[in-house]
Amino acid sequence: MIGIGTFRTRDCQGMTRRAFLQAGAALPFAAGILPSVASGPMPAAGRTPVRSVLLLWLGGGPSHLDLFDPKPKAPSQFRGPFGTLQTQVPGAHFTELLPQLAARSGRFSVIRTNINHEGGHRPAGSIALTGYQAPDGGEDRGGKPGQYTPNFGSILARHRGTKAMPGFMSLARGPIGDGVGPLFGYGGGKWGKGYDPFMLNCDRTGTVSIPALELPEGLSPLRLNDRRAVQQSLDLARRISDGAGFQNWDSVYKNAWSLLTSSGASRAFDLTEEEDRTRDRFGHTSFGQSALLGRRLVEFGVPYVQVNWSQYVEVLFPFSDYGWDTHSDNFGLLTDWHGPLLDRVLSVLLDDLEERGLLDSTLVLCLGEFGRTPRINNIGSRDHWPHCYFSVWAGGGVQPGRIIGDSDAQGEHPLTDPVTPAMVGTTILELAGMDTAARAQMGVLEGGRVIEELL
Amino acid sequence: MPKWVCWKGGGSLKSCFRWVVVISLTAGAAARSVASEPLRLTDDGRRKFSPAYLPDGRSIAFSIHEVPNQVLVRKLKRDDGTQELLFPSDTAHQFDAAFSPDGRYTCYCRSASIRQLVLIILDQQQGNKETIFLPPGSSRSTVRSPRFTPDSRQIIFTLSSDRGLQIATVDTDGQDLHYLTESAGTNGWPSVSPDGTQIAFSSSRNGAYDVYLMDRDGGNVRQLTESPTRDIRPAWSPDGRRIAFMSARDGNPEIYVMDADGNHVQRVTHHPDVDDFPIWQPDGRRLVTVAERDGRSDLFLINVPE
Repeated sequence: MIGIGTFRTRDCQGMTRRAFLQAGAALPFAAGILPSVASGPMPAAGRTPVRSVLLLWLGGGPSHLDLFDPKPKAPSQFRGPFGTLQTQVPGAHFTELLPQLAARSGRFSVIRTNINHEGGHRPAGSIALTGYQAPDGGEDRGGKPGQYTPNFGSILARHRGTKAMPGFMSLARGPIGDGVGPLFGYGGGKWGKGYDPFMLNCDRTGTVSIPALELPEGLSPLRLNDRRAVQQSLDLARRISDGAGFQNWDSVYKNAWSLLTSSGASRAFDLTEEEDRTRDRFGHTSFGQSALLGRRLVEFGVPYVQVNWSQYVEVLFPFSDYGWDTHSDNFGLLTDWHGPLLDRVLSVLLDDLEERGLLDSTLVLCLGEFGRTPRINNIGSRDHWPHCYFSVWAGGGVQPGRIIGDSDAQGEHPLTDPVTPAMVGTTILELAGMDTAARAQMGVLEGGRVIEELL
Repeated sequence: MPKWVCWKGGGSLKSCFRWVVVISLTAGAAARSVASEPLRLTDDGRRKFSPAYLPDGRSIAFSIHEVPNQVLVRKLKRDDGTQELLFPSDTAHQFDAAFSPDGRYTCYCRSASIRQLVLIILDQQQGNKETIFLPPGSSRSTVRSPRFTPDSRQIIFTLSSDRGLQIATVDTDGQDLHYLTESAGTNGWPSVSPDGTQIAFSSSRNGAYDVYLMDRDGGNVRQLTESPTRDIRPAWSPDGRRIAFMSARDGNPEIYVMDADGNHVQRVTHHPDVDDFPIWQPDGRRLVTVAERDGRSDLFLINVPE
C-alpha cells in the first residue's frame, strides 16, 4: 500500500509527479545519473570485497564505560552502576546492559580505542563519517559545508556507480544532526548535494516514508495530476539547483519516478513482506524496524546503508526516539531504553544476516561520534568524550571475536594505538573494494591506514 | 503537517504472549485470564513505563511513547478497559505520574527544556492548581520516579542535581527540599512503605544497583539485596510485608519478590523477553508489570506466589 498524506492508493500512478520531482532534486543517487569511477566492487589487497556496508549510527555519543568497555574496578565516580558480563572472548567483559551481545561476542569484534578530533556533535559527527578534519573548525566555528570530503557512503556509492537502487541510503526522519542543524558530513560534501544519501524514514509500525517527498503546503493531491503545476515545480527546481549533476531535469524526474515505481524498490521498502516473527524479533521500535529495513536494502543490493538511531543527537526524555546525548540521567536512560534496545537490535541483526547467508558479504559497523566522560559529572551523568570510545565490527572481511585495543584503567585514553575516523573510513572502503589507487583517483582518504588488527 | 509518500507496513498483531493459553485481545476490552495466567491489560504494543494505581484502585496510569518523540501519560480504566490521556491540556512531554493516597494531589515529570525535567504538582482542591518544582543546580537537572508519602503530605523522588543522583523530598507545595541520600554511586527509584516509616530504593554505592532500605528521614540505611547485576524499581506490597523489584541476576530482566527484610527472594516471571516496572495491585495478590513480548510493550497483570 502506498499513500500520500491522508489518502492512499494502490499504486503511484498520477499522484506523485511533483513529489518525485522533489525527490529527484534532492536525491540524484536515486536516479543513478551521476558519474561513477568504477562499475562494481573490485578486490582490494587480495580480499573479496563486501557487497554492502551496513552502518548503525549511534548519534549523540554512547557511553563506552556503560556498554562495551566497563571499568568495574575504577573508583565510584567513574565506574557507573552496571554490573559486567563475561563475553565469549576470554577476559573481556561488557556491561550487564548487553547480555545478548555478550552471548554473541564471538561473531564480532570491538575496538576500544577509537578517538575523534572534536568534542562537539556536529564537527565530531562529520569527522567520524568522512574522516575529514575541517581546517576552519567545522560546524561549531563558522565553517562551510561545501569543503567537506564526502561521507564514506557517498564515496562508495560513486565508486560502485549507477545501479537500479541508490548507492547510499540513510534511514532517519531527515538529515542527521543536532538541534542546530545537520552534520556537514552527512552526505556529499564538496561533491554537492547530488551525492547526499537517499533518505528514508521507518517508524515503529514499519511504515516507510521518504521525507524529501513531503508535499508543499497548499498542493492538494488532486493538483498532483496538474501538468502545469508539475511544470512550474520543474522550473523552480531548475532555478534553485546547484548545478552539478542536474543539467537534465527531465532525466532526474524520469529516473526518480522509475526508481520509486519499480517493483524492486517498492519491494525493498515493504516490510510486510517479512514474516511477522522476523519483525517481532527486531522489535516494534523505529530503530528495530529501521534495522530490518536496512537488512532488506542490503538484500536488494544497496552498497551503503546507514541506519540512524535517531535524526537528532539530543535526548529529552525516556523511551523516546532521540539520540545518545545523555548529559543528564545517563544511567536511567541506558537502563530503560538505550542499552536494551541496542542489545536487541544489533544482536538480531547479526543473527538475521547470518541466517540469510548475508553476513559474509556485508560489513556491519556500529559506532557514534564519540564516547562519554568516564568521570561522572556533578549531576550524576556523563558528557562528551572524544578521547576514547568504541566501535563494533562484524561481517565480511572482519575477524570476529576480537577485542582490539585497550583503554586505561578509567577508560579515559587509549593505552594502545588509537583508531582515528580516517582509519575507520579507510578500512570500510578497503573492505568494500576501494583500494589505495581507487581512493586516490577520487581524492579521498589518501594516505589512510587500514585497521589491520580487524582483518 | 507533513504529507509523505509512505509504504504502510501492515503487520498483524499476533496473539503473542507465550505464557498465556487464552487471552482476548479485543481492543480496549478488559480481557479475562485463564486461572493464574498473566492477563494482558493493553494490546497496542507501544513503549510503556512507570505504571501507577490511581487512588480509586481501579485505574492505572502509565507513561507511553504515544507517537514518535512524544511521551504522554494515559489512564487505563480496569472496569471497561478504556483509556484516556490523563493530562490532555499539557502538550509537553510528561511521564512518571503519581497520586497522593487521599486523592488530592497528582504529580508527574515534564520535559521543561532541552534536558531539564521538572516535577509538576496538581492540587485538585484548588482546581488543579499547578506547582512546578524546578530541580536546583543545573539546567540539565532532572526529577524522576516521584512517590507520595502515605499521609499525602510529601513527595519523594530521584533528584539529579549538583549533588549527583540522590533521593530527595519536597512538600506538596514544592517547598522544603531535603536530601535523604548523599552517597557515592547513584540512587533512585524510591518506594515508601505503607506505614510511611521506611523507604526502599536502589543504589550503586557498593557496585551494581542493589535494593536498600532507609528510615523515612534517610537514616539507618541497610542493604537488602546483593546481586552482581541490577536490582531496581522496588515496590512495597500494600500490607508492607513484601517488596517486588526487577532484577537481571538471572541474565534477563525479570520480576522478583522478597520479604521486606530481604529474605525469601522468589522469581515471579520466567520469560526470555523483558519484564519490568512492577507495582502491586491494591489487593496485594497480583502485580501490574510492563512486559515486552514479541517486540511489543504492554501492561500485564501477574499473580504473585504466596
